[in-house]
Amino acid sequence: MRIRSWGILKNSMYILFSIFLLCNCYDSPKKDPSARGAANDTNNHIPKGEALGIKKGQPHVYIVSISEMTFHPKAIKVHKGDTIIWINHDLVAHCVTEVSNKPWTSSAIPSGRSWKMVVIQSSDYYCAIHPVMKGKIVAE
Amino acid sequence: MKTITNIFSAVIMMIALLISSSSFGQTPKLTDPEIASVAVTANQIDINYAKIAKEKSKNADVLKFAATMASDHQSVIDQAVALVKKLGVTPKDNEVSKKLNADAETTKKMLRTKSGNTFNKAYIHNEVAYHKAVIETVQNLLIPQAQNAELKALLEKVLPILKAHLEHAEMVQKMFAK
Ligand SMILES: [Cu+2]
Repeated sequence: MRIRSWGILKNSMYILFSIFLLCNCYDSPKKDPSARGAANDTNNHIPKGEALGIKKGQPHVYIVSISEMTFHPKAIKVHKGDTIIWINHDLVAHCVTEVSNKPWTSSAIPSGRSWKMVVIQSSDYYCAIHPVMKGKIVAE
Repeated sequence: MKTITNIFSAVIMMIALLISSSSFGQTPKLTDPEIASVAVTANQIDINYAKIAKEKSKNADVLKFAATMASDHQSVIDQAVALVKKLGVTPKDNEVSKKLNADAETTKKMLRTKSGNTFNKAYIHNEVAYHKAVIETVQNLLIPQAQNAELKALLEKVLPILKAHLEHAEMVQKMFAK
């Protein structure tokens, strides 16, 4: 009886170990999406206002892209009076809503659409449709 | 001796869990039309759960979560349907989609017997478990087996949506744990 139990125990350990190995393998592909997001971020820091021929000292236009259920960049530093355009690249609708007193919200931004706002103050914002999505505006 | 018995029973429990989670025995082999069917079915099931929540719950957080599930999963279905149309593919029933539907029937029956906070807890608990299971299926079964590049790309786009839903569900679940 005891010997049989040990046999099962040994086999069980072998199976468990295989599962452990399998589980580890599955972790690696997860890193891909964030890498792509990071690549996008570099573009988002380019003030689009300059590209449009607006002179220095004038308000800039910044892009925050929404993809893979994340705001890119998550935090953006701008000057008061600058404009931020949020572009939704996801399949699902998102929104941009101020966290604390909810003084402003974009309402739903459908897939493929965008919403813009002139920044008047620093804000923490989130997506009220997916409350796990958070962003931040730092206005100087 | 007691420790050995404890380890032994722990191992047996793990194996039992494992067998029940990999309920298809061997990994099923799916064609693209079958993968499309699994994708549509899995999304439709969560829309149906959300409908029950809309009928039965009065909790604002649960209702908001359910509304997000209904609209997001519908968006995914719309995209999947548009893609299969474009590719000229007809989604095909298979063992995985049948199993998903059979399990969903049992869960819906269970949810309908509950009310009030017991319902809220059961609904959100199921949403956590269901999204974990669907993430696992999309990540380890559908994406690796998809042959068409556009179908694979669509599934890859769906994955972060499912993960955000899981986090959202866990957030609501924590509110009920207090
Ligand atoms: Cu969102």
